[in-house]
Amino acid sequence: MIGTAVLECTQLVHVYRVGSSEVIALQGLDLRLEAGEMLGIVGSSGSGKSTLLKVLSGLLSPTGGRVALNGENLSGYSMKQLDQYRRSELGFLWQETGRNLLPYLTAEDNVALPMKLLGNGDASRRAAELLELVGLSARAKHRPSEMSGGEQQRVALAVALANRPSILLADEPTGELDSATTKDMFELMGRIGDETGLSQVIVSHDPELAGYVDRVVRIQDGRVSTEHRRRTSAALADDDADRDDVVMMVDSIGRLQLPQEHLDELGITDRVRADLVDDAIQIRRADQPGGES
Amino acid sequence: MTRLRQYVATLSLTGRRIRNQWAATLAVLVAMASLVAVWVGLPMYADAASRQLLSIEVDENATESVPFGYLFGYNRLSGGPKSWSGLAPADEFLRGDDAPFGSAILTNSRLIQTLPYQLRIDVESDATDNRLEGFPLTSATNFGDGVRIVDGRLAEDVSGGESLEVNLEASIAAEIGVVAGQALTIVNPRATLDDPQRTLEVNVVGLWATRNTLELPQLPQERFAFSPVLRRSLVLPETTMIGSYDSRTTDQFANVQWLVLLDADGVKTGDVADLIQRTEQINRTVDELVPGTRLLASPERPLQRFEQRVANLENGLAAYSLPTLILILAVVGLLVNSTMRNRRPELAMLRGRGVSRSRIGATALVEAILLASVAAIAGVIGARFVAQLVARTQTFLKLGDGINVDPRLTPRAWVAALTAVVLLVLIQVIPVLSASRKALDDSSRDSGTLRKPWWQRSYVDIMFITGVVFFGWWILRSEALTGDLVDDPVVIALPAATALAVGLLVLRLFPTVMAGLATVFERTGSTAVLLAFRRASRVRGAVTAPLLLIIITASLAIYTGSLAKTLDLQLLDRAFHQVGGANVLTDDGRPLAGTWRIEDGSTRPAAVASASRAASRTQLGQVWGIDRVSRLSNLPASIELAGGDRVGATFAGVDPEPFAQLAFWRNDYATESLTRLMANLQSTPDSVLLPRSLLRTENLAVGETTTLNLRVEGAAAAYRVVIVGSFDQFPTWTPSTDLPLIVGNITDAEARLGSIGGSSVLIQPNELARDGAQLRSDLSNLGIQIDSSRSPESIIEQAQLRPERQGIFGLLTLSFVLSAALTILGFVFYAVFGFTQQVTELGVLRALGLRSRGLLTLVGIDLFIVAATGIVVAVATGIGMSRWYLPRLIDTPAGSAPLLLPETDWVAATGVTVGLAIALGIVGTLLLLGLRRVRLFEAIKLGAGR
Repeated sequence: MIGTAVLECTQLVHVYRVGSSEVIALQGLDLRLEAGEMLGIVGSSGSGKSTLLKVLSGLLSPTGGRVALNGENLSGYSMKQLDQYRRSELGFLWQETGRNLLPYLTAEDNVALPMKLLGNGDASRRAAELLELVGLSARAKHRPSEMSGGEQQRVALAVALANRPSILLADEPTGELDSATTKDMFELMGRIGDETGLSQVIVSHDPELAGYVDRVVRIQDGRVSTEHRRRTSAALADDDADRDDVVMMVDSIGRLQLPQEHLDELGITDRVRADLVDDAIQIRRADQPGGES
Repeated sequence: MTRLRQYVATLSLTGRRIRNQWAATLAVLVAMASLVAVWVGLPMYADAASRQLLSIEVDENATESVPFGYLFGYNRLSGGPKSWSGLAPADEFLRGDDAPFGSAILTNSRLIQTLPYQLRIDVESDATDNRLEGFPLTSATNFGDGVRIVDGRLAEDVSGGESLEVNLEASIAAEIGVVAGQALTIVNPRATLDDPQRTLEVNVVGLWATRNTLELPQLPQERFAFSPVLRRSLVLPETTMIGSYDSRTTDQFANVQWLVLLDADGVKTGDVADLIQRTEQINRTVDELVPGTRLLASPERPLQRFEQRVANLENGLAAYSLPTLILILAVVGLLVNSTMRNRRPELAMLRGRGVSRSRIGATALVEAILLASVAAIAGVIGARFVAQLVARTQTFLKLGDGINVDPRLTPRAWVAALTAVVLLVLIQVIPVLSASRKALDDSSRDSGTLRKPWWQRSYVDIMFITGVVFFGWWILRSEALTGDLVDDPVVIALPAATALAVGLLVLRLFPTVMAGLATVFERTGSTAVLLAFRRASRVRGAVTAPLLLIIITASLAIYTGSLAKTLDLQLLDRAFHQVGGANVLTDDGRPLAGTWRIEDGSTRPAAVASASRAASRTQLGQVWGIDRVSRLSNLPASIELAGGDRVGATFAGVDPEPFAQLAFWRNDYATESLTRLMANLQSTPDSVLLPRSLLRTENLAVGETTTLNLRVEGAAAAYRVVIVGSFDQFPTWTPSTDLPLIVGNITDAEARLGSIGGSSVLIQPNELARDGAQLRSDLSNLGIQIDSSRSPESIIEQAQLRPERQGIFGLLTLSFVLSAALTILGFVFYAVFGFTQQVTELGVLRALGLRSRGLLTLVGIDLFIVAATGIVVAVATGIGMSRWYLPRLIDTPAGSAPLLLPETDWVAATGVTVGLAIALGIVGTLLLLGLRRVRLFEAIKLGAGR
């Protein structure tokens, strides 16, 4: 069953200019984030994960394609609307503390800051609530340099939630944490998602991510290659329960990425034949004779 | 309300950041306050100095016949009115309340004189020998206050009487045999015999004499009462002159002078232009009222001189302050940009959380205005000190008592302060706006730190360097240079531009040279040194500010030190040269100033005296404390050339032996030493020394003979003389303005002329008489009164305190002090921020196994490379500019001697080098010690320092 898409990317393309050459970070990426969903994005370095996150947050304008927020194209937003979008719809959680927290503010002040920037007069009370939510009430008066990495990221999570966003974008939020703290952090984010209905996009290298999110998509060469849905997820309908955990993604123009191990096993290099066989598509080497393989 | 809360929140955040980064903020504030202090302080000094100049021009330095006021003169020869009724309109205007003088009137006086009368001593006799010609009737305002009546009484107005009461000067009265109380008849020689106005009866009621000039309270009396025309006049009261005399005669008025003295103390610098304009207006009005009335003196000339000097002062200050202001601005920019690097994450966070650029800009504007205002307040307070420091400057890096100035915040100073605030606000806001634009794009945010700076990529530096080379070449070839420190700002502008050009060239070559050195150090075992050179070859933009600051500051300091030394020595030499070398007393009553110079070439202060009574060489030679005495005559002379032509000249007769020992002499005066030249004069009878220029133009040569003509009052002599030497310059002689100088033995001249009349006498006091007090006392015992005494120090100090010169050297001193302080501050910033940028790199090195000591060495060498490169280049540039530019950029002022000798100030060069090296060394050491103490290297995690 397909739920309501909060964010939807269609044929997203982004090209960086590095000196006189160009680097294609995203090449026709399609992605949906459903309401209340916790989506994990994995991929190797340079696959385009962080670029995708910046595009989703409106920090980067895509070279091509479309990003829709609740069906509305972000590309049509003015700078003021984008500011408003980031202020009220999004929460950010970055890997580096320096991008999440101001070093000269206490935990409480850091959490209150986004609300105060919106002119919220009730910032202090909500900051206290959020710190309690992330279990750091006792550290409210401490500065980031006086806290551990895990605590800093929990404060950063509270900061991200300050303005009651509908979407949380997290870029390697556990990149600098040990495995135990990572587990705590993912569990905390999951719990908050369940309690608040927050939609979350979490970019991570962590192989354990799949155990904490509803869905994990792998990005390769700027495109979604595979998708891994958690069998236990409540988001999956009963009739999907018998489906394989890992599915390959076909983009809106019919492209898909085949697993490398399959290609290696069949000796497929650059050309294949795709034949419709009953209700399936059969893919074989181009130089292989037709018929069933 | 919500919007207000939003801005309050952003401002509150700013406040927290400033509090957290107080050291950096303080540094920025100090730099900004320095900028304001200089920016505002200079107009304040200019204003204070202007007031000083005004006082000098209208009061102390008054060379006009009237110090500060108007003197109008009317003479009937101009064809104007001859009766008082015709003159009255001008009189009423100048003495009335409507005259627009523009300043308070101290005194308003007039002198009225008639055509001369014949004076008949014996009223009854018409004999020729009874007639004394040329006695006009004269009246002068307040005549009685300026004279003393030695016999009889002051004349009074007797309008109804037959005879007029007059006063006569006592010595004239004695000469013509008139006594007080005597009745006389005066006859108008121009009248016909039947003219009833031909004769007038006068009664000499009193005889007057001059008062001691010191008793005179005011000048009008001095001017009128002691005017020569009054001495041979019959002085009658003003009321009589324009009353009963006027009514009894027709068309007898010959001369009138109106003197209006104004209150110079009440004149403000801002009134000057108006006063000059009023002069023209008043002159026009008086000329219209009484045609032929001439303006003999007015405040116009002193005020115009004042305006010219103020313009010179302000232009000089503006031009000379430009390099300093640019340097301080650069430092402010460096500091702001350095703090900006720390602020970028905050901006990125704010922008990422939806804070708009306009809000960030508005907040930055408020922050910038607040900081700039604080800097402006501190700067304005500091500006007073700047003005006072400049006023206390004697020469470069030397302060004295200076002149007493009272710096005030004039409207111009306020405008300067406001301009500075606007500039400082822009300097702070623009980087924030730029950073907020890129804040969301972290890929561009972090890139470019290793790239060439934009000005290198676009070859702006090469264009600038080429421009400076061509500009320098053109300037040095140009004949438009005045060579004057004040009038020709190129004296500092070209070196400043050169220093910047050299700095830019070094920055372009720096990476290549460092890469080369790194290659050399590859063969050694020192990893830290190798890494330091490799880093230096990579990091381009980071070293820009500290290197440029060190190079510009130190090289300009060395150049300025040399410039100051050259000009100071010129002052000293000129004082000696003008006098001749020793204390000079004169035996003809002329006051002369004098100094001496010790034979080893060093200079010492000396008493400078002027004497009012004759003193012979023998007498002076006997005075305790005087070692040597030489006469120095100054006689009109000429030499005859082969074709019979004569060249007019001045003959300087000297006593060769003592003159050789006491006269001021420099090696560039002649190709031979003074001792040698004087020995030639002494050993060869009837010999002379001639200027080389004269020898060249007249085809004469040393060893040849010529005829010398000498002339003194009542005697002349012409005799053959042998040319035994030549010179380019000679004590007391100014080649550019004086007649050619012929130097000879005064004894020979005396023998030829019989007597040479008066001559100056040079004396050389010994060490014990140096202060002049003993000398004056001994001279006094001999009956030689010293009217005044000065020391060369005071002569030089007086020249040094000339506001134009003082302003420039004060500014240069201030510039150096500020530049040095800001250079050190810039170096601290470079060291601290450079280190924070290296944290990741250092962390990697640490992880790879480089020891703490190695890391310290690496950081230390990194700082050393920048400091050492800067200092070495600066010293070479400073000395090079001193040796290359000084001889070409400054010249001997027209009409003065001796020639200016460029000097390199090695003491300043050494002092600046060592001082800067020590200061930078201390900064580096403190930083390294600090790093060791916090054990930062142990704490480094990859990326953790960001």
